[in-house]
Amino acid sequence: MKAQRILALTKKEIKKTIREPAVLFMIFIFPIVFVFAFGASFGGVGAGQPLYNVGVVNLDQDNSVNASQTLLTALSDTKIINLHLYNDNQTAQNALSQGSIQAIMIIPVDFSQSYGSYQAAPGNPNVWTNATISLYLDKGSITATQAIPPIIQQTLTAIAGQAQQTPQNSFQLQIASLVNVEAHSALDFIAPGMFTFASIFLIMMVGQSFANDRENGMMKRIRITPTTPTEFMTGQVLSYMGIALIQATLVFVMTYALGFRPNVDGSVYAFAFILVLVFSLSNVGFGLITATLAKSASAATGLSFLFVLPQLFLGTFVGASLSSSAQVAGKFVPSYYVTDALTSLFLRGASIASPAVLLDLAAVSISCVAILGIGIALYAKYYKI
Amino acid sequence: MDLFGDLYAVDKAQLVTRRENLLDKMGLSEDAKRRAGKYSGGMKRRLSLILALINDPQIAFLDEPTVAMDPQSRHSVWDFLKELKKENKTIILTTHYMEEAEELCDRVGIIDHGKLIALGTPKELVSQNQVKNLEEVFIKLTGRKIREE
Repeated sequence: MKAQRILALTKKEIKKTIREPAVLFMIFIFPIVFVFAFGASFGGVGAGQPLYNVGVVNLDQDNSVNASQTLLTALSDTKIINLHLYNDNQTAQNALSQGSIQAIMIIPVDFSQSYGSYQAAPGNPNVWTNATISLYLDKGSITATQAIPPIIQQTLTAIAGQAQQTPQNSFQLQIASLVNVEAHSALDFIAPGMFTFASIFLIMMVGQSFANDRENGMMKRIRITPTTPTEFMTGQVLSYMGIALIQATLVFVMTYALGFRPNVDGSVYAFAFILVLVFSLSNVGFGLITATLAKSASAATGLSFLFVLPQLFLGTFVGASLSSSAQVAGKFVPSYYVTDALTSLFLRGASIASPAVLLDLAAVSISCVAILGIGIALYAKYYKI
Repeated sequence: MDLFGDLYAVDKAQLVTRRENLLDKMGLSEDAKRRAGKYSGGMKRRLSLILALINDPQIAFLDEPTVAMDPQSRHSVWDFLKELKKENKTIILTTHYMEEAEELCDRVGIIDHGKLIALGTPKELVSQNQVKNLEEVFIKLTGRKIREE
């Protein structure tokens, strides 16, 4: 073994790495993107605590004590509850079903009376006027079901001036909407995001495929044939849409086998598949951008993560634990709208025609067509199709 | 083969006939089920030739069609190209093998540094340059100095 040869091979590898930007990406940029995306999703980067949107229907009629106002002020002071006032339960329920808020708190007519009775005789439950605050929770939000009830319960305890050890006071928190919640597992919460998740990896596939075809001369051969660019791109897009459909079917079969049974009819499933198909357009677009930037198939694999990771962390099942800043960032990736629409349909019980779902569909459609257009234009600019 | 047949919009039945015929003539029938990536260099060249001819073109441009082929493969390709000639197909091929040009071509053009320096039938070129064969014509016209391709 000669040291001279080893040294020469080492130098060769270093030079090769420096000369290949995609490999540099894998070594330096990818870890940065990964750490940022992971941190933003799970660590609340730059945002502090998450903000929960809670709708309030205040039916409290006793203005002399005005305990309901005290409660609302105390909740606002927590800085993690963002209150939205509604005149009636129905309007609030509509907002909840469309995902505008994560919970509804109904303050009963006798809340202040109950509060007053407790303050007058905190040690004598026999003279209390008992009141119940009803809480409706977004069943599609794991954070709503887990985080909001204890926050409100603790605030109630605090405004009553009650010691933590005291077993009860005159007003109780009752979770009114969780009638079906016990049927929802963690799988139910992440399933909508999983439909989106599978399709995201088309980006890598498309990037690799185009780069590969360039490398092995297939693109040149195809260009020799009478095939037009439109025929070529249409064929490619259709094939990836087909793959996306198969992916969505497999994910559905898997989630169904694992116990995912949303109470929806066939049209909702059909709509879900259409959403995934539309979404696949953006992944083909991102794949084309990847193939444009990448010099080789292996480089395309690495570069594709530039698009895969944000979509993955900001717009799929990981979204349940997003910080508020990450939630804002999520609105810039198409996968967010697909997951949101599927969550509205499968878990919030929204109909296909509901404004929230249609808005998501519009956002997905516009962004996906735009990304596909950019992908085709970029690829065509640098490589002949 | 099917992909390129379809890209050339060849009729399905015709494509099957043409494919089997070309595979047979190129000696690839027994290897038709194998992945092309596993083929030897010579087999890939023959497959490449099939792909170029799957649409039965009237004019074919073949870039060094027998490079890296063993003698048997080369001769089977020659036989096939001669058949195409008999069918009145026009073939324009580039080659560095002068015996190949002599064997196959009706007209030979010698290009040196991008310029056409000689053009004619093999016999005309040999007789004009008063040498024994095309290889000597080539060397006489382009020089003996080895050059970078």
